[in-house]
Amino acid sequence: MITLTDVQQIEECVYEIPRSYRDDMRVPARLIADEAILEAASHDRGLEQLVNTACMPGITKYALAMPDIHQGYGPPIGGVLAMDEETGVISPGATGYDINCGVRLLASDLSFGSVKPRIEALVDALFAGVPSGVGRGGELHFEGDRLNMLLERGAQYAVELGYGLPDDLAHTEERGCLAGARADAVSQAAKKRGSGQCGTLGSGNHFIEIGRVAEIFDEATARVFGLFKGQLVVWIHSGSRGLGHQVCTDYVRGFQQPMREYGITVPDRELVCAPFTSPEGQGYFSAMACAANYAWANRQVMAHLARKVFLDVLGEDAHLRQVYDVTHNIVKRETYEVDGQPRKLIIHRKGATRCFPAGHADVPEAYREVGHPASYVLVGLPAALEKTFGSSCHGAGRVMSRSAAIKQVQGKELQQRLRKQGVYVHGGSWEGLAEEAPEAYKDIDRVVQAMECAGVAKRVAKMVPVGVIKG
Amino acid sequence: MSFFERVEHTADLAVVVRGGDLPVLFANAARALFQMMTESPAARDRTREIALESVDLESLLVDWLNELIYLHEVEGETYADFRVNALSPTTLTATVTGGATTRKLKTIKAATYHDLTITETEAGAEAHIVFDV
Repeated sequence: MITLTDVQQIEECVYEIPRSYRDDMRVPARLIADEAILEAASHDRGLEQLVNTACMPGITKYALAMPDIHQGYGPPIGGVLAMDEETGVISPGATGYDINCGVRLLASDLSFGSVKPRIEALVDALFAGVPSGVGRGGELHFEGDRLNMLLERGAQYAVELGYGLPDDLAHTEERGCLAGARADAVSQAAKKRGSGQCGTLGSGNHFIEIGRVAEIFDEATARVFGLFKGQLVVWIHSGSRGLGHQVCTDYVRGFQQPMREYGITVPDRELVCAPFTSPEGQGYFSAMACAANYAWANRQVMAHLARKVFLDVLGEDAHLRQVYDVTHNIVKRETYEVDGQPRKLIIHRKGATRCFPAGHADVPEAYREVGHPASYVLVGLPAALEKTFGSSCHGAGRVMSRSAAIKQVQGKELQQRLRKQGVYVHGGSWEGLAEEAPEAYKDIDRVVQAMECAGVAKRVAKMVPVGVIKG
Repeated sequence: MSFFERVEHTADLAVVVRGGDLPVLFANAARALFQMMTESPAARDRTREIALESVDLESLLVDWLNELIYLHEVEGETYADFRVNALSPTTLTATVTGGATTRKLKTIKAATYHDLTITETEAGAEAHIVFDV
């Protein structure tokens, strides 16, 4: 177990476990954190998992974790791994099973105050209008060529079919379609799992949340994002559903033998990998891009369904404009300066979001003078490119296991407690709700302050929930 | 002592499963999986034959559980009886019986290799498995 004495402070809110900590480390392991977050991180095995990722072939500069770090499987949740494109590996296990799990933020023109009495009706209508819950399918079915189009073109295809607006794509990471997707790299088993789940929320930590903007930290940037204090907004958190799970399962399985043949060893078999340039590596990248595109289409369809519910319940003025859609489980090809030279890198983000600063070519044109929003809403700062491969935290991060949460929290009591605090929750199961209780997570304010303190991202606006749908 | 128990894991679902020998261990791992995912099926009218080949025993356990997760999701079936007919370090054949899923409790995305161990014990065999949820 890694202790705090193994960790050195590099600068304010940046800590490092040096390469000398373990013989098999190829680079140091870094963590963005304050003292309290660092101390909390030492209580589970997240730091050990971070050190494991520092041993992977081709890892560049350092293995990195955001302040929402906690124990996962393979890499820690909150992990960012940059592999050299020529000499490095790609790892399905390090990307995770819910490929392109991500968050979409939609903003209304309405103030919370003007619709407060209708919030419960809105939540109930969203629960009825957007399929959610364990294993629940949707009304849409994609098979054959239509499914292949969805996998290769993502949210762009969903918009062509009438789900959403072209402007949504301009406000989506990669415009909702990751290049390199090839549907023939996706197994029939994965396609079968995905055929009936596009436009469904799922369960676990996925949610649709109605929130109000509680605080604006940066008026000028908030204005560019179209955010104002008291505004009613909607968050959609979901991913690639069974299709993405099966893509990961297929490639974790399929990589076991080739990894031996390539002579690669990793400290944790879930970090199984293959050279990025190998046929296996390219196959996974193509399939992973398909799953990512499926997830963008999934959130696109759910945004369309949420818009319909808003119009039905609140009337014709209840439009929802897309602020941004950002992923937190993905592999991307990106270029960063390393040792003064531009390097093409394979960036694995596992529970971390992209956060590019002002002026970056991949930031939507409307936001180019400020940078693109990340979770909470943050905006990327120039130092993100130098320090974190353009990455930020993706949420608060768990501190309590699911079983501990179930022991300490009763789902029904939690629903009543939240209702008294002004948050109406409509959940699929009491146990599922208890597992996701607020006390099972870190203090989000501390987490985002650590990002700001490290100079990586700054706060633009804080939202608080007023209504939540849990699957 | 129960045939399985949950152990602490911050984000996901970790279990220790026990069995009198390896085939029973594999069957018990499947029973544990379905106890966590679903309620028992009302009927026992669906039977499936499963044959798997993997690179080693640990992979075989992961592949076995992931095959059952796949069948559960796409066929809408829940299995309650698991008979491992033959098991070598790289191959498995099994017969599983159950019925249409009546009520799902939890989505389990996959069995993972993280912290995966299969060990021989005085009482037989024991496995530590982490599931992504």
